[in-house]
Amino acid sequence: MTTATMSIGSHRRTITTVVLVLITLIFAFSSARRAMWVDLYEFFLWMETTWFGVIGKTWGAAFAVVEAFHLLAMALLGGAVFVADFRLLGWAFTEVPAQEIMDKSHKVFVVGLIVVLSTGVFMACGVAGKIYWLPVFWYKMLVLMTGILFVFFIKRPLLARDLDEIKPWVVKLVAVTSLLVWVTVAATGRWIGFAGS
Amino acid sequence: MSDETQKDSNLADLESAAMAVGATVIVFSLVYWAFQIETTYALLALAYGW
Repeated sequence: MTTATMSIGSHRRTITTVVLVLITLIFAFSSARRAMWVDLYEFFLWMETTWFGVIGKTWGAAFAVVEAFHLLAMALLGGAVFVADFRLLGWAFTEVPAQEIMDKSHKVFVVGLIVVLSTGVFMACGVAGKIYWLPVFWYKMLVLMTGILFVFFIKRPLLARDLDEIKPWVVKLVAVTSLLVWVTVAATGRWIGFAGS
Repeated sequence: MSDETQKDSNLADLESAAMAVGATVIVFSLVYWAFQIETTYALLALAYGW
């Protein structure tokens, strides 16, 4: 194996990250984004005809109950994010070992994420005809996808190591990034509720 | 490559990837929220003649 190949191999995650960011940027500013958006219209119309869509549209109480679980799961997920990131920033729970908080909060985060995603799909089906036209919905999906990839492919593998080995400012950058991503997901999610009605 | 070197290399890779995502998210957040504040202000200005 050549030195160059080994060097690229040892920066696989960084290269993948930069390539994904570049592809997203190129896609965002190209005509392909609009073409894909137009193509997705049929899919969103179909979403409203599914069982989830019909129940969500016609039975307000069912939508409200599912939304209640969606919001409670968001609180669970948000709580796990705040606890972990505030600990990383040294703002709270400094008397508890950081690794212990990371491990326990991640389990809570995963439960919250699963409930948020499953209830979110139901809710999206009920209002698919509305959210399709809302730019804020697409921003939410972009940030949500970024957040999920960031947590499982960067934050979690990085913080699974001894925190003393990691540069302190990188630990803080990870915490700030995580807070920005999940606050934006929550804010844009609530925004959908107020937009386009 | 020894285990220790491999471990250091993986850590450096994770740290650089975290920096790349961190910088992108911070720049995106600044631009996105600045734009939202600006457009909200413009709408309020239209509505109330600020």
